[in-house]
Amino acid sequence: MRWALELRGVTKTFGYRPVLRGIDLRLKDGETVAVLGANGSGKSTLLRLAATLAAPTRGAIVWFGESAPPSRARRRIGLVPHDSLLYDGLTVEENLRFFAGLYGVPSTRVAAVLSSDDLEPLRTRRARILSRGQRQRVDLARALLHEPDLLLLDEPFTGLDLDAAQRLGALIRQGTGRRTVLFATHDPAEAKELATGAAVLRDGRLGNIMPPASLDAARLARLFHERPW
Amino acid sequence: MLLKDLRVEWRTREITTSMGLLTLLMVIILAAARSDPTFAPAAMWITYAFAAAVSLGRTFAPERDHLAALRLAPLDRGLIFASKALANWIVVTAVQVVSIPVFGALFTEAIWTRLPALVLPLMLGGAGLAAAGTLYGGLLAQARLREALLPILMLPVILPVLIAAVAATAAILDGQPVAAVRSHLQLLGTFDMLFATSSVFLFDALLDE
Repeated sequence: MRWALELRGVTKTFGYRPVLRGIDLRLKDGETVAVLGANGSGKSTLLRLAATLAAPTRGAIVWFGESAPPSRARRRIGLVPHDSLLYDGLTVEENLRFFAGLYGVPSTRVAAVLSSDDLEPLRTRRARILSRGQRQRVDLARALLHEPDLLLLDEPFTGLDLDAAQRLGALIRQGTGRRTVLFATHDPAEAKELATGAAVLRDGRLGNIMPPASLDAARLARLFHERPW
Repeated sequence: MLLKDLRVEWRTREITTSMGLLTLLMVIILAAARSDPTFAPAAMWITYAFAAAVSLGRTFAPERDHLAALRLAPLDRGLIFASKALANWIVVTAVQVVSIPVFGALFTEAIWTRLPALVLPLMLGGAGLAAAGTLYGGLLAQARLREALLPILMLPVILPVLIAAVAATAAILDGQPVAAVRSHLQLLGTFDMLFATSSVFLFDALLDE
């Protein structure tokens, strides 16, 4: 079987401190998987590794079933990190056009994205003055501009009000089945609502991905707070 | 990338303002201390070097939170350096254009009559400052004391640029033809080429973790 993303025994240490220990993770095409973990559990590091932004200390990562260098996979990955990647001094349109240029995305695609109900009103606003929710929507549009096969989201709902969270959730769900999504969250309810599977990350170790049927928020919450693996 | 950098700089004017103000400040201070017209070339290049060393550290300020986006983009990382260095060169050139009249007014009128001949050393010297400032700006992008570290790291490296630029500028202001300073210009050109080329390759490793 071809996996969209495969981590084999991945360990990541910073200095002598192990942040991830022997992570095994396989994501099928079109799957949406949540990685649940408390602050400092290693979720962001896991996403950075998956995004090719860092190399594992031990183990291997394979993207899209190809044993090609990470640079080959970059074109097919979209990342929404915890902190926005938008340039404050540029408008929403200028930001999207800049990032489209980096990926060789045609301007017609940018125009189509900008004409959506969500982004049209924000088009000429500088990123600096966007609310957290607006910023997240634009950041997601930025990450999806080149239509990546693998979308990585780091705590996408943090700091959003209910309305903004619902709108962002709807945007993420639009791609369900068409692209593989791996997102980090500390909220079991978010995982249950959006993911087709979820795994708990504790003390650098990742549990098995649980099937959707067992995505019971109470059970996830219990796992979340149980003793280390 | 180049247009984006220039647009952000045009709106924030962070580098232009700090470099321009520093240039003006140093020109005024050095002009007050001058006792000899041949002091002008040294004053000019010390000013540019110091202003560049202090200001170009901000080159990656807009990218500090965006390096992940650039690192994730499927583009040659050498292009990122090239575009940043080019944007910095344009900013340095703009500051030179604005400050030359001040040098002319405060130091020596020869600057006006020798202006066409001065263009080459100014451009080549400015390119060296921009290339070195961009590389060290990138190197220190994530460092906490980058503003303090940049001049310490950069000034020794650009010493050959300063020596050659001062010598070429002095000779031209002294009335010598451009051909007479060919060796200095060659040194400047060689430094620019070597520094820019090696930086393009180094930049790839620099952006990696």
